[in-house]
Parts: sequence; structure tokens; C-alpha cells
Amino acid sequence: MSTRSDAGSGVATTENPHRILHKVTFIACAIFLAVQVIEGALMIPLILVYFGFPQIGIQEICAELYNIAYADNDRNCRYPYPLFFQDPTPEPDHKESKGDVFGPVIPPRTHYKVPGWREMIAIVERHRAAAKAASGVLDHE
Amino acid sequence: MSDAGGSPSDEKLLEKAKAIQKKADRHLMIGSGLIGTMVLGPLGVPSFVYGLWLLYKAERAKLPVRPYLMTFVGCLVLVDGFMNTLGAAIDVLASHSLIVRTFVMGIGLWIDSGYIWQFNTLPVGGTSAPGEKAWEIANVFVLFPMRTAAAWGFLSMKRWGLQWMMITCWMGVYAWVGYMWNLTTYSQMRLVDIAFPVYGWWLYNLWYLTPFIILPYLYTIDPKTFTDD
Repeated sequence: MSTRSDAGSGVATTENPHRILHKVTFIACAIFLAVQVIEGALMIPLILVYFGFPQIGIQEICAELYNIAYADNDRNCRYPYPLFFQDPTPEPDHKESKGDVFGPVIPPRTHYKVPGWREMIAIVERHRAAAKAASGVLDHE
Repeated sequence: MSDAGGSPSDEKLLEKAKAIQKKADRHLMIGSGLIGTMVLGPLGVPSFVYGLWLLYKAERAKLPVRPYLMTFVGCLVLVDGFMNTLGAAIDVLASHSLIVRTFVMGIGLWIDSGYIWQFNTLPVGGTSAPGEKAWEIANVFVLFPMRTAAAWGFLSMKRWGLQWMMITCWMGVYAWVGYMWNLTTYSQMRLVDIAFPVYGWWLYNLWYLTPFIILPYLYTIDPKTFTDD
């Protein structure tokens, strides 16, 4: 392959020094584009058919997916969902969470006890005293 | 593209090519926009294929239309941009519509349980996977709209289109690295107990590695073929 400066010469008759790279790009682009178009067009129908559409309705599939996600057979897929719902609580939160199965519901709470203004001094002093008392007990033994 | 300056027949030919190019681009734009919505995807394919076919026919007739490789590169980024903008936007903004709940939880159960695990639990609906929402917002509102606009500028053969293709492709590299590390960090939660683990994820997402295949091309084309306006 010749030098890069040839590419910018702008003369139409010169051979493209990057023709191999451009050929590879063309093939890759054609494949990628074809797959993207197929995915964009067919992914939703494919998923619906996989889960049993049209024998079972979309709402039933949705409800079953909720049931799987929350290991709870009482979950429903509310439809139509109100556009301006008054209750901002996320839909699945209306049910008791299966936190014991899936771990804590995120976002997790840290439950930290944040020390107040210079309260750390009292805490450290308390710890020091406790350590001293412990070592003092050990000394007597 | 430079001005005609030739014989009247040349000018006529250029005008014809320009009209075909414009018509084809409009179809490509509408088609890829519809494909990008996922939900309306099947409706977009005829328009998109028709646009490509118009350009193919024009090139076969030796009309001076945009090189086919350039069309493919631009369209790839256009579809990629639309799919990631609108496709992720449905999870961000339409997470309670019936079709989106079914689609997103369904694909979650297929390839990435981050999209079904505690779905719609957080105040901002959709995926609850750690860190995922942040990437969605950054992609939907920053990166991919820019990439879509850049692809449009590139297809229109504007200089800024080429420049922004480069910029947003590098941003795409950044997003890939960040997204992959987030996904990998939580892979024990996201890529287990699903229908098609790791290989399924790659089969679905491999095709969005567009920045990596396009960047070398962008640096080896002649910027002089792009117009300044």
C-alpha cells in the first residue's frame, strides 16, 4: 500500500491506496447494516412469537414476565397504564418484594449513623477508653 | 460536490442525479427512523430498502451519485444512531407501555437480565440494573442524537458531517468501553439464569461495534470531496 498522502491528492484517476481497507469496510458495513435492519424490524415480533403470541395475548405475556421477574404469580401487567398517574410509586412496588430471593431491593439503604459536628472526637475517645479498659483487664490477668 | 461547469447535457445529468439522491436520502432517513423505533420497525424496512435500491439503480446507470460505500457507512451510523436513541428511549420514557414492557423484559430474559431484574422498580422506570440507567440517559440524550445528526451531515456530504462522524465515533468508542465495563462488573447478576447468556448478548450487540470499523475508513477518505457549508 502506498503512502497516505496519495489519498488526499484528489485526482480521480489515481488508484485508491486504501482499497483493501475500504473493501473490508464495505463488506463489514453491509453485514452490520443488514443485521441491524433485521434486528430493528424483527426483534419485537420474534420475542412475542417466542413467548407464545398470538395464542396468548401481549398482556398475558407481559404479566407472566412480571411473574418470572418477581417470582410472584399475582403480578399483573396493568393496561392501559394511566398517562398521568397520581401515585409515583413504581408499579411492582405495590406488592411485597421478594427481597429474600433476589437480594435487597435497589437502591439499597446504607443506614449509616453520620457523626455530627466534631462528634467523631467523642466516638474516638469512647473507643480509646474501651480499648484501654480491655487492655487493663488483660494487664490484671 | 463541485459545480457542473460542463456542457448543458452534463448539467442535466447532474440535476437528475441530485434529484434521485435527494429522493433516496429521504427514504433512507424515514426508513431508518422507523427501524430505530423498534416497535414500528417492520414499517421502516420497505422505505429503507427502496432508498438503497434507488441509489443502486442510479449508480448502475452511471449517474454521479454518492459512492455506495459512503452510503453504507452513513446508513449504518444512521440506523445505529436511531436504534440506540429511540430503542433506549422507549425504556427510559415509555417503560410502562404494554409493548415496551413485554419487549424489554422479554429481551432481558433472553440475553441480559439487567432488563428484567426488578424491572420498573426504580422511580425512573425501565431497567434497574446498576449503572445501566446512567448509560441510557447519556446515550439517549447526548451521544446517539449527535451520531444520528453526524450521519445525516455525512450522507449530505458536508464537511461538518465528516468531522462530527469522527468525533462521535470516538465518543462511541468511549461509550463502548464504559458500558462494557459496567456490564462486566455486574455480569454475575446480568449474564446468568437467562436463555442465551454471553454468546446471545454478543450475537445481539456485536453489530453495534460500528465506530471500530468506520474510524479507519473516515481517516482514509479525501475530505475535499465534502462541501464546506
